[in-house]
Amino acid sequence: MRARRRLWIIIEEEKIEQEKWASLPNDLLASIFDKSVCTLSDCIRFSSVCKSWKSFAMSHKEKHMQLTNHQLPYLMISFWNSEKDERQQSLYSFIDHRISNFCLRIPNKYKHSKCYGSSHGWLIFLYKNKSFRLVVLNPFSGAVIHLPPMENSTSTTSSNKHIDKVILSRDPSHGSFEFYKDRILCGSRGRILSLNVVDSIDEYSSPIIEVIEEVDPPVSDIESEVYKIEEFNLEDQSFSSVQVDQRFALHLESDCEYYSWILPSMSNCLEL
Amino acid sequence: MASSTSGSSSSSKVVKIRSSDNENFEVEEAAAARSETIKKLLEDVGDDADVIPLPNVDAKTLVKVMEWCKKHMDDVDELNKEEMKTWDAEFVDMDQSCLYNVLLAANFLNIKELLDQLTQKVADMIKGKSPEEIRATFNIKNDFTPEEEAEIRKQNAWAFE
Repeated sequence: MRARRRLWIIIEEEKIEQEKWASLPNDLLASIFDKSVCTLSDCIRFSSVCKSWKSFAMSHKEKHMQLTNHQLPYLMISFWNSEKDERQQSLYSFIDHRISNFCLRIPNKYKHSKCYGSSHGWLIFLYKNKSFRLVVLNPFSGAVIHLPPMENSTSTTSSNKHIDKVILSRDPSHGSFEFYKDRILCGSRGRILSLNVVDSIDEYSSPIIEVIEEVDPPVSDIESEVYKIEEFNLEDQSFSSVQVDQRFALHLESDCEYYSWILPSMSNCLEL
Repeated sequence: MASSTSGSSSSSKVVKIRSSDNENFEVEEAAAARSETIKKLLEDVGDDADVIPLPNVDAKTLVKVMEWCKKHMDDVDELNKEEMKTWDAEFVDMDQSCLYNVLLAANFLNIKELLDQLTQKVADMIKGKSPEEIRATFNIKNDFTPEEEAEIRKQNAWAFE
C-alpha cells in the first residue's frame, strides 16, 4: 500500500515537473520568446514544443509580421531528382548557405508553367488548359486557388498585353486578396522593387533587404489603366477593380521561370 | 541587536530574511536590496523589521539568489568586467530544474539584471534546437495529439528540415 502511494507521489511529482516550463508566467515566457526567436523558423519550432508555448507564440501577431518582413527571402531553386526521376523545387537559405531537404509542394502539372510572382509565401503560375488561367498556390502547405479563366485568353500569347508579373496584396489564407497584374512590356518600368542581398549576415541578426530600384508608376498611368488592379473574392469567386495602393511597394519581385524569391509567412504554416 | 556597528565596515548592515521552508538568513542589506521586492519591504517596515518572510522562495534557491546578489552588490569597475562576465556565465550554468527555481525567484524578488541573464540562458538553450530537443532539455511534455503533431510536421516541414 505504501509502495503504491509512493509510486503515485512520484508520478504526480513528474507531472508537476513536466508542467513547470510549459506554464511559465507570461512575462517570463515573453522575455525568453523575444531572446530565442530571431527567425520565422525559430518561431515555428518554438510553437511546436507544447500547446501553451504555441498559443503564446500565435498570439504575437506583430512579431510574426516583423519576422516575416525582416527575414531574408529563400531562393527557390529547381533541380532534377534522379532518384525519384522528377523535377523538384527546394529552398536555398542564405543564412545557412545550404539547400533545404524540404521539397516544395508544387503539383506536377504546374511545374512546367511559368511562375509570375511570389507574394506572402504564395506563388502565382499561369497555367494553360483550353484557356489561360492564373493559379495561386502555396508551396509550403500545398493549397491551390484557381482563378477564373482570363478574358481574351486566345490572344494572350501573341498580344502585347501579356503579363509580366502578378503580385498579391495580402496573404490569401486571410480571406479575399487583391492581385496586381503588370501589363507593361518587358523592361524596367514594370518593376516595383529589386532585391539586394547583403552578403555578410550574422547568424541571428536581422537580414538586410535593401531596395536598390524603385519605380513608381506615374499617377497618369494608373488612370489610363496601364496598371490594373483587381480584387478577387474567394467566397463568390468574382473580381472587382480597386485603386492602386501603397502596400504594393512592399512586395518583392520574383524572377524568371525556375528561380524565384520566396518569403514564407507565418499564417500559411501554422494553422491547425 | 546592534545593527550598523557589528560589521568591520560601516556599510555592512545586515537584514534577516526567511525562506518558504522557514530557514533564516542574514544578508548584507546592500546585497539584499538588489531585490526590488526586498528593498520595498525594507522601506515599508523601516528599522523595526525583524525577519522578512519570502513565502515564494525555498532555502536552496534563496542561497543561490543571494550568492548572485552578493557578487553584484557593488558597481563593477572596468577591470573586473571580464571576470564578472565569466562568473555570471558560470552562475547561470545550472540544471533546468534549478534554473527554473532561480528564474521564478528572481521574478518574484524582482531582480532585473539577474532575470535578464537567466532568460538569456534559457533562450540560448532553445536556439537552434528542434522541438524534440527543446522538450528534452526542459522536461516538457508533448501535449499535442499524434494527429496534431503530424499536421504541424506537414505544415511546417520547411522550418524543420
